[in-house]
Amino acid sequence: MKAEEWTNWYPAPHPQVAWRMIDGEALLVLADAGEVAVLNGVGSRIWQLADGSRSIDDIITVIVAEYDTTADEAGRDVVNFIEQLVKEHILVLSERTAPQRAEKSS
Amino acid sequence: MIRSFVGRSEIQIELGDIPVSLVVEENSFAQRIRSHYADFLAHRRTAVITVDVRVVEGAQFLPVTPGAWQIRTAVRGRRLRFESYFESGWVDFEEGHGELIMGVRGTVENFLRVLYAHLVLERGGLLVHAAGVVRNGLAYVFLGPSGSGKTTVARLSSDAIVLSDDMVMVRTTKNGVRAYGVPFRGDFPEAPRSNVAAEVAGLFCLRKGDDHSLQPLPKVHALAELIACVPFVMTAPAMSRRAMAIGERIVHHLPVNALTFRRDAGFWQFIAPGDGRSGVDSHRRETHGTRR
Repeated sequence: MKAEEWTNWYPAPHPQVAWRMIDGEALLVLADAGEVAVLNGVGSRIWQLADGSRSIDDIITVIVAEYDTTADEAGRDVVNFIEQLVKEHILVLSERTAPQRAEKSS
Repeated sequence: MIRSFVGRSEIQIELGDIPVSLVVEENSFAQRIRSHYADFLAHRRTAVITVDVRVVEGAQFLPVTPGAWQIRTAVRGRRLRFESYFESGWVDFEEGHGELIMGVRGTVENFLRVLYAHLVLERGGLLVHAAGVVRNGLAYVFLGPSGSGKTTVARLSSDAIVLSDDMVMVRTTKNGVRAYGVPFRGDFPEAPRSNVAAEVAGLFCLRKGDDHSLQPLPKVHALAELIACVPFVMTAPAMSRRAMAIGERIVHHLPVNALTFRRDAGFWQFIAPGDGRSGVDSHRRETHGTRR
């Protein structure tokens, strides 16, 4: 799929992933793989936004508003990041919105 | 408690205040269990799980192949399944009982590791891959995967009581975090299996190096390193979430540092506060009445 074709899709956490927000950073546990990952600041923000209720386009819009970046740059980075998480079975994509998730933040 | 059945006995083992009963045939196998877990035998308490252990000649469940030790576990609802080379069993946490079938070459050790990982998780604690030692009344927990130096750190702590060089049970309390010795060992089998518990002074994530140094870890990385050292129970998202919640309470209470160390005992100068409190809390004390 080309990058521009992704942007109307809705990313959401894979059902096998558990996560927790700690001081603004996302800690992920991949139950299938038995792996643990910590996302950096912007990655954690994208993770928070990828709750199934927003399209990738929506997420890019938020990132452009919140960070010192251009729409092109943010679009490329967000799509690459989400593509990577989809490949690693951390996010799933759907064509419509999913019920909002509720995991713990601290 | 040792209670006679028809040719069978109940051997109660207690780790971290959690009693489990093994019902076994009264023979040399039962004697081996009593001897191996001597410091962890419990009396007069109601077991949270009773496991019927049967030794079956020729039983083998997985082929023995070179590589990492194979332990397969699965949880469905409140039922845990366990399988390794010469052991296969299940536990129903709702009903409080289970069964373990073993070949002659089998042991109960790995089954107990898996079972206790689940039991302590339900009770607000974690069984973690770590070396643990008690020094001046305080426990020091050294986290790390295989090859990170857990056994080395335990061996270099000659003036300390070794909780384990492989696994330690940690549970939160009202005032902090407590570490409990377990009878499970890694590459330091000769270390006494001491049934000892103590308040935890700190968690240390092991890094091998050319010198000694301490580096405080941000909370999210501290929790990530702790959770990465929790075996057996992270196979389902619900249990992972529970482990993370418990882990977050633990790292909230404790300093967590990356400890880079070389192979000498000098690392203690960096981590010991030097004002250890009163002695060790032995679980063989009067509370369970087994002091001999």
